Amino acid sequence: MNYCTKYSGWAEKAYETNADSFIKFVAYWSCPSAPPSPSSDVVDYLFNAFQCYPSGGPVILQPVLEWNYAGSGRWTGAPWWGPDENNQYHRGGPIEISVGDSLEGKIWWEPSPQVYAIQIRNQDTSSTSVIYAGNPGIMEDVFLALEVYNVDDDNDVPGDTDFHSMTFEGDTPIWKGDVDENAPLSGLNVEIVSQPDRVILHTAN
Amino acid sequence: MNMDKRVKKRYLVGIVVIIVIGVGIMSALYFHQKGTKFQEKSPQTELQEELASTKALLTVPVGCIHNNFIQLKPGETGETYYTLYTRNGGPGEVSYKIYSVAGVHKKEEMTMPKGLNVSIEPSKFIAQPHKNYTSKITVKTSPELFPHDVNVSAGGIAGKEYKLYLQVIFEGENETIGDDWLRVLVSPFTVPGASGLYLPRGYLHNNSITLKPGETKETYYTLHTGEGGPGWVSYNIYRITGKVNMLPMPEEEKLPMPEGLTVSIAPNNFLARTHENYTSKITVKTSTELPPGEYVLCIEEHFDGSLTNHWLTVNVES
Repeated sequence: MNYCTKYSGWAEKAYETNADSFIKFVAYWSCPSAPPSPSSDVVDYLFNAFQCYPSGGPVILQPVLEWNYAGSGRWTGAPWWGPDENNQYHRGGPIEISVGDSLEGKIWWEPSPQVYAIQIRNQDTSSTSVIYAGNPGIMEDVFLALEVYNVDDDNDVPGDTDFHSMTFEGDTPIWKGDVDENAPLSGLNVEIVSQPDRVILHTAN
Repeated sequence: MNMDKRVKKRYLVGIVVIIVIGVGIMSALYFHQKGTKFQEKSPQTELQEELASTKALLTVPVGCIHNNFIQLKPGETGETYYTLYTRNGGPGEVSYKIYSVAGVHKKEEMTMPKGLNVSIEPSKFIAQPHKNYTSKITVKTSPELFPHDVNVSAGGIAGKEYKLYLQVIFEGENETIGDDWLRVLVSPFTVPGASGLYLPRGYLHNNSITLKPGETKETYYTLHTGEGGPGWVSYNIYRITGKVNMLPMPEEEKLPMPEGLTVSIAPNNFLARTHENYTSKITVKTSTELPPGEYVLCIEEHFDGSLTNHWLTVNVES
């Protein structure tokens, strides 16, 4: 039940939550068009992600394309992970991203020094940001998602995002789609074009 | 000679001690393994337990928090709600207690962090059978809860999460399933991912079923609600071409169910609460007239506004 007039949440996603363990996930996508006419407090995130389940609770690792993070009014990219053992969330240094830039989101296990690395790379400018998450647990779940904050109509969300050429090590997902019908948005559609390498998250834009 | 006897005696005692210890260790290992084996549950037992648990969840008093995740800026106040569905329970006094814990699913009380204040109103009332009671939870934060300056251009620590546990006591009702957890993320800016850490998720126990015309077979679907709920769960099963995988499924991909193939799911259309598993039985019934072949079914799940689907392939052998 939503008591707020504006919607925040994972508006649409593709997921695999019935696998064993993943050790590497690479996804490519182009930065979509910016929201056509967003309110100043709107924030949109697009990411691929791993999730694990240590005893303290789930932990997410994600290279994130951010729109309007901290009120920037533009696209940026940063690797994120959390919560850590102290319940804190971490963000790597951001990189600049423009509409149409080719992005690579990569999460992988580094055998030495035994840590998970999360990286986002702008292939057009070669800027890269990487962050290390230690070893929070076995990566059981994978996601692709459009997460939004404070949206109230289609003007607040970006264009379609085509996650393609995705590769995995460890397990291989069989993507399933999920759309949040609580979101005040039209045109949300998760299209699994081909398993497991291509998924499009559609919006009305 | 005496010396030799003493040495022999010590030698024998030593051997006996070693044998006794060895037998002890082996016995311990044997009984431990046996015990472990006895504790292991067969898939059938687990399934029966899941079905029994689902049945209980649909009949006993239940309750849960509406939004289990709140993101606040340091110094902000947020609200969410808790609803208790008494069903056959009551009349009786209901009381709520809410306190800080180390994590979701943890119940041990910890000191409330300085700068975090939480209350629920009403926290005590008399509840009658077949009624719903909603209380408001207010979470107040102070700036000291997140003392970091988030460095937007360099990165670093971007937010901190606190976990709260809500305990429900419904006097005279032993089977109330109402305890729940609330996550409060304090950050100057939004944090991606955090809101979806406990999203609902479901799985089919089998992705395909093979049977002969005239046979009936069953499989199961389990929904883990996570932080979804309270909300209604409904399932819709239809046949699809299996060629296009889109959600929502385009109308042109839907096919009429062939004559002689009946598929049902139960329970269907029920109220679900947070952090529980609900297992429904899917029955696939065929008649002798059903032509052999592969039939792809789409099991569409609606829960708390979220739409997802799973595919079940029915192979009918000649």
